[in-house]
Amino acid sequence: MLLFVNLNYSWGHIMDLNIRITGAAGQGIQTASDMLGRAVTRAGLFAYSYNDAESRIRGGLNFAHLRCSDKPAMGVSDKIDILVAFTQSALNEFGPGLAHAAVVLTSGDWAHPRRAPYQLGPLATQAGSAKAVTAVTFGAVGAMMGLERDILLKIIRETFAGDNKLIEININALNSGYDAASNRDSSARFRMPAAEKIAGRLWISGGEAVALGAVAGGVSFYAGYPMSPSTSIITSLASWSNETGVVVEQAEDEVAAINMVAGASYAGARAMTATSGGGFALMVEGLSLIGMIEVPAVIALAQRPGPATGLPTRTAQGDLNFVRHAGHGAFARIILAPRNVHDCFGLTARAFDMAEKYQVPVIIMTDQLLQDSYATVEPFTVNGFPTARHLLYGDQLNAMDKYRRYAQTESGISPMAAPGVSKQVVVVDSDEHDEDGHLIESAEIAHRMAGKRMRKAETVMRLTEAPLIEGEVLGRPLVVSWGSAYETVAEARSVLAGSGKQFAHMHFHWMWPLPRDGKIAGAMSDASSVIVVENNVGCDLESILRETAVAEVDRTINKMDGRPFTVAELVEKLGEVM
Amino acid sequence: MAATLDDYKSDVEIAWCPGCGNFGILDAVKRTLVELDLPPHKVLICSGIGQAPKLPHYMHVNTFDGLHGREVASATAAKLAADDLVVIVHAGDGGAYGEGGNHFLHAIRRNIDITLIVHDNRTYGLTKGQASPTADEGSVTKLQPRGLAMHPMNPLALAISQSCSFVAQGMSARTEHLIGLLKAAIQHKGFSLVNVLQPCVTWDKVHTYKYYEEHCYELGPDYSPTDRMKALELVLAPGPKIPLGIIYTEHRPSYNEVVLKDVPHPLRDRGISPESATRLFPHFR
Repeated sequence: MLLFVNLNYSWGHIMDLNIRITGAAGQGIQTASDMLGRAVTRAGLFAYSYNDAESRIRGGLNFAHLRCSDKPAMGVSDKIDILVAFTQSALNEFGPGLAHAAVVLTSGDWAHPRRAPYQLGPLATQAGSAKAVTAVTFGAVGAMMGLERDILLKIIRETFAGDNKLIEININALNSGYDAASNRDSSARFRMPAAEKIAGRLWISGGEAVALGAVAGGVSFYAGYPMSPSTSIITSLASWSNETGVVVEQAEDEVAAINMVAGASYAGARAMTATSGGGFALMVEGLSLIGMIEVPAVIALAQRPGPATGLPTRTAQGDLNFVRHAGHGAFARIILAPRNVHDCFGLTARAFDMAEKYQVPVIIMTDQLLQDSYATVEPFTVNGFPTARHLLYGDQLNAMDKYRRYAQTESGISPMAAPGVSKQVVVVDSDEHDEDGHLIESAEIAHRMAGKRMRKAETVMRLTEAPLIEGEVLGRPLVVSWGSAYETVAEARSVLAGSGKQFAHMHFHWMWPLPRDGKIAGAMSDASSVIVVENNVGCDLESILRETAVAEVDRTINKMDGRPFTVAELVEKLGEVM
Repeated sequence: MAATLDDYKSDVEIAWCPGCGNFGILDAVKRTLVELDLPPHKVLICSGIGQAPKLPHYMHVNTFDGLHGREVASATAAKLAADDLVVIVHAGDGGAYGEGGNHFLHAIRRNIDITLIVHDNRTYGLTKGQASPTADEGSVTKLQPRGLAMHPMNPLALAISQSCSFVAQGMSARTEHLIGLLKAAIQHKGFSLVNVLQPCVTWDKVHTYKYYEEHCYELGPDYSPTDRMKALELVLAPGPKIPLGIIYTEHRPSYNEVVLKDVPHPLRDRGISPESATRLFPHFR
């Protein structure tokens, strides 16, 4: 459902405060944004942040953009109300053209007409460390927003827990920032509305929500090689391993990772890996192995622009066609692309169940935008989540005369057993094999086993979910998007509706298989025009819709600079074609 | 009930060349497992591509016949997922040392409790006689008509230099000796490499049964396999003599032992508890 129906894009009765924290890598931009988001969440309000970073450890020009509201607002915005500049070059980049009402906080004594009369850097140094500029920022911006000091202090204590000296410095820094901003006349301008504190809400990123969803889905083994922007998944799973007992393996390379997933999965563990496009390319032979030996696998692919290394820390939706076709030979697969942080959790949990039930790879496609975006979300619920494993029990197997791993069935899905749970042996082979799993050369058996896999692919092709459709389609333009673009397109829709330009929005998070009931084509033919919005150069979704004869598309709006679409950008581009 | 050779009997037709060294290795593996009284359902053999990796099909045993060179990676994870299984890997010299070289190095680092049996015939047999990583410099093959311009890999020296916790070398025709090595390798709690020399009767006219009979010698009781520098000296020694036996062992905890400590295992037997995710929510508040 639309969450922004009455949103006034500038200032309205819904608060929409945009803070951009800018500077060099390693200056604590992310920490400041994270602490603020957490504080806003605890205050009973909603925050959303996205990250724009260079591929380096120190230096350069990075920013975190934090959006705060009394309603969930997760579209990508480039509006700036409060600009924080930790370097002069960041101020030079983002300072020009700020709105009249904006305020600029700077680390140093750098000129800007809307600069606050105090500087963050000296306050940090006075507090005991130049690095505490993060806490000064936290305090200053928190005070401007009217957040209770106690909420901020508690977050400082948690963030620096275990180091009393650091806590002391950062509390001093927080207080000096808080006091400096509180003493400033116009600070009331950015005050957030009072809200009831809701204890349960989470401040969580897309990558973390994928990892959490994996835990809900029963992951017990993860193997992966760190690769931006997927790394938060392995980092999260590793950091919780004492609590969850999930075994996290840092593989020597992505080829090892996917073959480990296959081996662990064969041996009965619920197994997962995550990577980005280049790593996935290395995994493709392993993907084909998983298709051939019919073991479950969950693979998260956090997209970034390609080809090759591309822009390692930036975003794109350019791998959908690659993933749909990846792997030599024909085999079934399921591809999902969560539409927001919340969706990452549920889709990932479901992926594990489907992977095991249908003995297929399930690929979850996020991207840098979604991986690194934090949002305030209602706590995920696990009611109704599947809790059953889809493996034969030991006594079922012991009662069999002979277990055949690839027994012919009508659905093409053969009952699966793990080794070591019964007297039966379990044989799998990447060669074409017979029902027992042994390699064969016989034309007749090869034909029958390929037929079994194709029946399975047909069974899996029925596992579909219709795209979300919002707004009245008949006679109006239909904007089609997928994956992480949902929130931004949805918000652009409500903004344009406010200026009398109505369009309907069709959004896919179930990328493959696509429903073959004609309803997508039906909706598209009801529309006055069909416009696909996707963050790539290759028109991935558009070409799938065309190739699979689901629908013809009139126009595509693409982006190929490694940055996400913003609401304002889509409002302009969609406005032009309507 | 004690395991018997009959338990391991398979009716799959064997596709090896007559006289292939693989027959001796197959025989030795089956007899080793029986002598260790391991039933087939408690043993997992992982393999990849080539002639050697067909071995598990010629037995009745849990089998993961995966991709070329990736058998050690898959076996590592299978051991972590089902650590109640004895996990053995069969690979050729191409799979283990060529295509899978990186996984080999990292399996040594991990000291995962699996046994890698490399069928080393210095040849890519199935693709019809190209040089393998252990082929002699100067070997003439269809792909190296002017003679191989690369130095052979010394897998034993490589393994010992990286502190591989069990390194042995056998010869396919010396079955009784090989059984002794395989038993020790399987019982060793850590990553065990058993390099098994075998003639390729079809493609290699130099390294014949006769060649190995003339050049191999078995290490005697006076050799102590716990001195790393002595072991290196042994396998780096120039000259035609080829040592057989346990060349190096050391004791360090196995990867599975360390990683699975305080973790409910086998991972295979775990149920699904979606609520376990909700218990992590406090991290995000």
